[in-house]
Amino acid sequence: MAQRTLEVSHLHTSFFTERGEIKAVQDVSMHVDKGQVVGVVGESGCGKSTLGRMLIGALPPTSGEVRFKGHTITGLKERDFSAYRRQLQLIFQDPYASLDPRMKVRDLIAEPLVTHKVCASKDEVTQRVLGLMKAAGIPADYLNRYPHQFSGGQRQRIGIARAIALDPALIVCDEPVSALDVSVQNQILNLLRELQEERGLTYVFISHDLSVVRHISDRICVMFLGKVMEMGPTEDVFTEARHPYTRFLLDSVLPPNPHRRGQGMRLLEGEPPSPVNPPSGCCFRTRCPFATETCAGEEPNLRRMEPVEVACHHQR
Amino acid sequence: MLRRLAADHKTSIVSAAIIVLFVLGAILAPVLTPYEYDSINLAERLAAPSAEHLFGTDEAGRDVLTRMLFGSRVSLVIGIVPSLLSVVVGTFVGMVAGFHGGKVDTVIMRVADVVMSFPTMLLAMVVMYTLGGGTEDVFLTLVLVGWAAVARVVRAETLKLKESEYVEAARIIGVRRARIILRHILPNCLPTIIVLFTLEIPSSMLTESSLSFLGMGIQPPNASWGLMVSAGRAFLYHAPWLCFAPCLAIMAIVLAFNYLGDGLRDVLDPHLQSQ
Repeated sequence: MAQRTLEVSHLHTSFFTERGEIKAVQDVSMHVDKGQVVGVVGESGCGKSTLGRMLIGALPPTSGEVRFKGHTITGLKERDFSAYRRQLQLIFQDPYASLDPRMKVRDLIAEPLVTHKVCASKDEVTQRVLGLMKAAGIPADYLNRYPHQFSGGQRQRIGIARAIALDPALIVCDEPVSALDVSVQNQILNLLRELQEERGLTYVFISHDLSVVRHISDRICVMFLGKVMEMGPTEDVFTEARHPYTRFLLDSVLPPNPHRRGQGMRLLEGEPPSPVNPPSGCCFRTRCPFATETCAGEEPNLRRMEPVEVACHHQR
Repeated sequence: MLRRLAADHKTSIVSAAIIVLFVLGAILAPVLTPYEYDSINLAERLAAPSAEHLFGTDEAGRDVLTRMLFGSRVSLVIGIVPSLLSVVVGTFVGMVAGFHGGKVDTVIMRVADVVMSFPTMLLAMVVMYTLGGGTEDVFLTLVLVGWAAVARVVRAETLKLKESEYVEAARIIGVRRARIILRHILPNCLPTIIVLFTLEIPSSMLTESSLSFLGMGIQPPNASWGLMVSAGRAFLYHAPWLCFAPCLAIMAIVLAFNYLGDGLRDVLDPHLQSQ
């Protein structure tokens, strides 16, 4: 059996606002095996990023448990957690906001190395930084430049170099390409993929873009309003979507041939329901064409339907 | 950095030159003038500006220019030292309050509010009355009054930066709190702090001048610009140079520091550097 890098069970998180409690993530259980890429997809505000932050221990869950290589890391004191800190890294969505504007590329990439004292001398730090820049595709003569002198794609390469600097066991990529130009997106995706193959990295890849997730993931997890709707191997989910929400998501991807657009496509109408006041039963029922009384009365649990898991009353 | 300052900010360069001139004047005061700042010559009382006495003489026949040169020592030291102290104390306190939050923040900021709710001059006068009139007491007074405004601005900046993504990124990498403050928050507050500092200098100088004008700052026969304005006020009609010369000096240096602060703020912003 593949090695479990990360396993989470029954994760919940709530934020308390003036309008009431927002359940950002509800009862999410999943696992990530070593060397795998797990894609997390869903609309804006469905709790993907919140989940990502919890996976790497940057945000404490309200309840539930995160186990890293068999060790529980939720509820640890800061000092006890620091041993795991370097194993769990994050690539940010916004390459403009996530790099300190006053630090040079050299210092940005050296920061993880210096923080965890992995190098014996300054020369070694520089050598490692140059190696990481090469791996991330940043020309070596940019060593002393500031982030604002770079384009979005190049900045994201700096972010990637920082994330891989400590050879982490898991990297959560929080929409790493959605802030970039389409022409650059592919370069960054290919880079992430190459790095994954070369270094045997494990990713949790968060995105709202299905084609991006399909390109890179081994397994995917579809979320809606903080809950997992469907989860399973990528190809199974893509070719044979069982949950109506997944089907809508797949239909919303434009086909490359413009003459085929609009044929057989069903588009989801309306906005996602308010997370402050979610509908009873199945949270998707207000937008689901197949909704029945059972959907309003009872909340569907995630059920195993080989090879996937689905949370829908109509799939048995 | 200096080259850019020169290219784009002529006002800043002129301001810096004025400041350097004043500093040189203060340092070289004994060399630059043949007179003593406290040598009385009653034969030449209230003499109008002439080749011998460029800015004339005062009611005791002392050379006004000489007294201004010596007075600039007091003004510059009082401008810079308490401002530096205020900024250092205010920055430290503001960062701790902003970063730590909670009760620490509440206590610190309420104390700052109390300090700020007093009229500055009144508070300064109370402290000066209590402590006496030495230079150190003026320092202490100015720091007691000055730190609160700095702390408030720095706290606000820290609160903003604390939530920024690059601070979160540093946290996820595992950077320790003290280092985050030192390496990420302080450098990004620095432009604000420098501007605060350059604006604090003229306000300290003005406070000192006002205190001295009211007779509660530097004591005669020592020279200070505020004291000179105060003494010259009595002769405003028949010897206006007594007031005007120190007034102009105060105005020039206050303006110079303000413009320099403006220019520095622009130059220190890394986003502007590339353009």
